[in-house]
Amino acid sequence: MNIQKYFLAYIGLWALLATSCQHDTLSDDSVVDSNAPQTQTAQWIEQHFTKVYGPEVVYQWQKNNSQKGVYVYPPDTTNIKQVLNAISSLCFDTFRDIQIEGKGNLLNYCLPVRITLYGGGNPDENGVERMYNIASQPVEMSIYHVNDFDANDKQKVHRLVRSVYHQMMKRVLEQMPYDRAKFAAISEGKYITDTQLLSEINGANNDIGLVGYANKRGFYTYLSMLNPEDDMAEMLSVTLTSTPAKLKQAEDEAHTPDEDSDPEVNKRYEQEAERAYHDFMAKKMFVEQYAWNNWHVKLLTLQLKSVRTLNKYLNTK
Amino acid sequence: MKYLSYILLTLLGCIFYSCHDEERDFVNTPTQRKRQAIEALNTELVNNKAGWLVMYFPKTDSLLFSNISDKIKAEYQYGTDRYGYGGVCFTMRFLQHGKVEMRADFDPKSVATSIMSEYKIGANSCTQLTFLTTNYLHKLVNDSYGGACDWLYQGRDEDGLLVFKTASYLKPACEYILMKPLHDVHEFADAVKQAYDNRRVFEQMKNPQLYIHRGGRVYFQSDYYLGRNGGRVATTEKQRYYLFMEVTKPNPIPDYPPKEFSVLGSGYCGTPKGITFRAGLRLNNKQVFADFQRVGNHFEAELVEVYHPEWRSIRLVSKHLHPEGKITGLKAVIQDVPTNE
Repeated sequence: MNIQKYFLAYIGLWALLATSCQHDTLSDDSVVDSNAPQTQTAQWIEQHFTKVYGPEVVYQWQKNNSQKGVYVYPPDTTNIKQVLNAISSLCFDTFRDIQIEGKGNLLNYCLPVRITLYGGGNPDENGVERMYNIASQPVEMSIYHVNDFDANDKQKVHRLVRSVYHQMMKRVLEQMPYDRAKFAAISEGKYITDTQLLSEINGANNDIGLVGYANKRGFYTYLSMLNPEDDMAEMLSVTLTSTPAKLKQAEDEAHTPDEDSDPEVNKRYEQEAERAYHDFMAKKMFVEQYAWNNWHVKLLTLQLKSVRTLNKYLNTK
Repeated sequence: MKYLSYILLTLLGCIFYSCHDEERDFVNTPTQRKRQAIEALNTELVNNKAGWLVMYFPKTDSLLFSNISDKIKAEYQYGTDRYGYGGVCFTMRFLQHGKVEMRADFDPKSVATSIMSEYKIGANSCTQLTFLTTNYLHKLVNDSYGGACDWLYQGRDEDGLLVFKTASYLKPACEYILMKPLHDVHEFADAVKQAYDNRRVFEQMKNPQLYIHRGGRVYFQSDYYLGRNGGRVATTEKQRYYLFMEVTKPNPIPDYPPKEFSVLGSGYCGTPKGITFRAGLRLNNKQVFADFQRVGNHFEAELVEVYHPEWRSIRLVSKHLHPEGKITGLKAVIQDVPTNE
């Protein structure tokens, strides 16, 4: 009985072995796209940008990279070199020679894996211009307004640098985390979450600078008001692109209450200004402390270096 | 033991009979077929050295102002915020190495200046033509026109024109993308200029009115002067949409707006021969006036019946596109009617 069992099992195994190991020839046709020849622009990007700094640059349209419901489009090839040169010399090089003890180069913590370039702007569903792709993660950077970038135009250079720094800071904050709960508690109850309110304020849909309306509420910019993540990235990004004197002005603005003929209203304005100033200074100290603890460098040192590089760039153009 | 033998025999049977060669419905693999489709479209686009005339209507609505029996009574019902969108005429020349040269009928500059950009034919749910870098087409990629730069190839229409769509809409008749081959190298510059000129002739009419008739029988005759002031002309030109209005109940109080209208509206675009309306000026589901020919300073469209032997269908098209078609006598004329103003 037992012998028969083993015999049958033996035959079964042989049958499986005999049929399983057949030789299949692989198809010559790969499902992967055949290698298309690289364009001159792509060659330049690879040689002068990707090989030097690391991130892949996507300048050709890839629908899957864009967010749904937002009308963005690819850039013209003529401005790409100019934009990438500005990004590298103004933003990447500022961080390049800063070494963190035991951790290596600070730039490595700020770099995205991929940079996608777009020709026009990035207005969201409320028509408010956003500096980054809100549907993506900090590991990917999106650069807008490539088509109308002009290295001689101060405002356009400033817009580009602000956007790049904002996204670099988001990336570094992801890799060297901050105490989000502590930071968010400073301006608790003041974040507006949605851009609906900004779309109703005259000029707020396209303003990325230090602005009185935001300062008086304890923030640097309109976009800081959205959520703690944007606020933190904006605090660092604005600091790196503004002179200490400009930040002092914003600080004073936060401390100055609005005026009204009604003493009751005036009193409330004074309380609001007090809270705004407190928030403003508390957050300023928080980011300075963060930079010192994690990067082992004074934020002021980086700020001066960045602003000087920016001024030098604009003066030589 | 007996059961074990049965199970073993069944298993052996399955093993020996399962691995047969299967019959193939297609000679080539899906990858090969996809690649062939990509190469075929690319070859077709590149091989026509004269280039292509492209009409792109990114956002059309065949239900908007398309029923003449719907009576419009209040002013807000024909306000400019209800207007739809028209289209743009391009000429494109596809070159080797993924380059495309383009002109568009936006303004005199885009009519006279070619710009070069990159394109790619790839595969999505169908064979897909993608414009990879900025060109004139991207002026339509915005919140109002809602254009897209990934075009899915759908095949040919009855006239042999290449038909595309985008992934923006699932419903039909929400967009029109047609590519017509040009026959002469000079047409690349001339066709788009003529389209621009024809569109401007229509837009500069002070009081354009539509008259649809068959012999002495009138089906629609717009007669309401919309005026040149205010935002209406600006919206018309910006959105390339026109509304023809026929007064069906006048207001007894002098100088007050009429009490009731019958209207026909559609987005428009210039063509080398005249002007085209999409989704068309629709008398009903079948009698749709789309392509008008410019005759002097007015535009005419006469519908003729054309039989398509392959599709076994009869359709109504403009006579200037199919002179061989069977006469129906149904004619539409757009002309600038003098006003007192």
